Amino acid sequence: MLNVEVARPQIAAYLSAKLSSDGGVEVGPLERITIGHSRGMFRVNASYRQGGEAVERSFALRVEQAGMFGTNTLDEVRTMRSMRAAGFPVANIRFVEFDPAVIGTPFFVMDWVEGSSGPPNDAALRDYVTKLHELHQIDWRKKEIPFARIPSVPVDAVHQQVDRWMDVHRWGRVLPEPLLEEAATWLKRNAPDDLHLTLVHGDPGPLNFIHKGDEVQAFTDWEFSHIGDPNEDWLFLGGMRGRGVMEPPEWREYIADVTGHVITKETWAYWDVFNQFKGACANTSALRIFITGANPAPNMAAIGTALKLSMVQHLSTIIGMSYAREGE
Amino acid sequence: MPEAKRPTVDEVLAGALHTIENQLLPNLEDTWARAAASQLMGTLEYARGLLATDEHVDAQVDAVEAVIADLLRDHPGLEAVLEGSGGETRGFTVLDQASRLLSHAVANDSPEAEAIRDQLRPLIVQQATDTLNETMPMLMAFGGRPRRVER
Repeated sequence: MLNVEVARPQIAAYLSAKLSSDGGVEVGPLERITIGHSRGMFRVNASYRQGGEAVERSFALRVEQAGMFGTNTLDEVRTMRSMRAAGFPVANIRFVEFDPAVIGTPFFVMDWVEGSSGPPNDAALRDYVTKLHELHQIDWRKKEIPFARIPSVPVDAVHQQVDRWMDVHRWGRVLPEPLLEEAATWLKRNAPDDLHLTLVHGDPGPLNFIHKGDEVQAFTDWEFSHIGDPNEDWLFLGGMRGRGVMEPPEWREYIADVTGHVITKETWAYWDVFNQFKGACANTSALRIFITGANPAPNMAAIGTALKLSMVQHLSTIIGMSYAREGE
Repeated sequence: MPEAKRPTVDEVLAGALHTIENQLLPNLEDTWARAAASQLMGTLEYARGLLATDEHVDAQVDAVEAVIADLLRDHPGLEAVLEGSGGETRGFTVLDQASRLLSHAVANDSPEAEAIRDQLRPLIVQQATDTLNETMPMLMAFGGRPRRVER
């Protein structure tokens, strides 16, 4: 795990090499940004002289954490750059570094985006939902988005994602988790008929976008993005990440009101299970990261056990109810 | 009462919790550091819970193994579902078998699938709930709000 005090001179040296400054770059104390657990996020305040002029500039430093959630810097950077090139609001990535000699782990540096990732006002929330809908309308086949896996038909996307998350779970687990193995089969057997193939952000909702006033400035946290069904995003927003804003039934109505995208109760339940499965599998990676000492912080222990199990309980309840209905 | 020879592990953990809550947290201003301190308290409370109860993973594995044995006795056809299952430990093997059986039941509507859903699934769900309850102190502290320390 990045030790901010140790890394500060390395970051200053790195920026001195990357930025054209008159006499090197000075970096203030790194400020931990208190959002997200997939990456270490820091604000870097740099000061230097350029052509005799004093420059003060902030950057966002995003640091990998030992395979957390089974994602990596390369995929995230490639997706973000493609989305920015497609005109979507995404922070500009200045530098990407894979050499562990710098701070011990891959990282990238973005231009700082002014705004807040805290609770948005009504207009900013509406703008976010509108833009998420616009993301789903992008003709991804005409964009050069370098996803490792492109599904051939819609149901293939479901299978790809279930297998992807099961692989992450199996990497992180200590013992098999029968209810997750059951859920993987259930998700493949019960995939809805009306699937579509669109860009999927994968982790949308409050804390994962920056807003200023009434407008969204940037979508963040692209490491889960892929080609899949847009309802995965809507349920991640309305069933998980957005629950602090309003309850799921309200979200279902809100999404329909803002975008015209209507989600049936059956489809809602399916993607609810899917996202709980995805979350539980992703969270298992924290268990391995904790017990191997790669990051022994207490949030890793909580994510890899209790948070994961709360999702397992949620999804197993829905699957159990589906069995009960079939038996009636 | 005889004087204690040295502090117990639980007393050390309780002291650590008390210190974090009353001496460290009030002096921490950084949001991330405060959240980490609170989460650390949750982890220590979880550790105290572990100390107070018997380790029961083996008992859980025993219970699952017994139900699987019953299922195989009543439905010998299920042997084929378990072909190739295994693991480095008995616990891994048994839970791998349970995983295969639950997955098999999803895709089938037979009497044996119904038996898996009726007999094995409730046990697995109950064990997951028990483990969730054990780890709950970490979940309660995850959002950064420390709870009062019980001594």
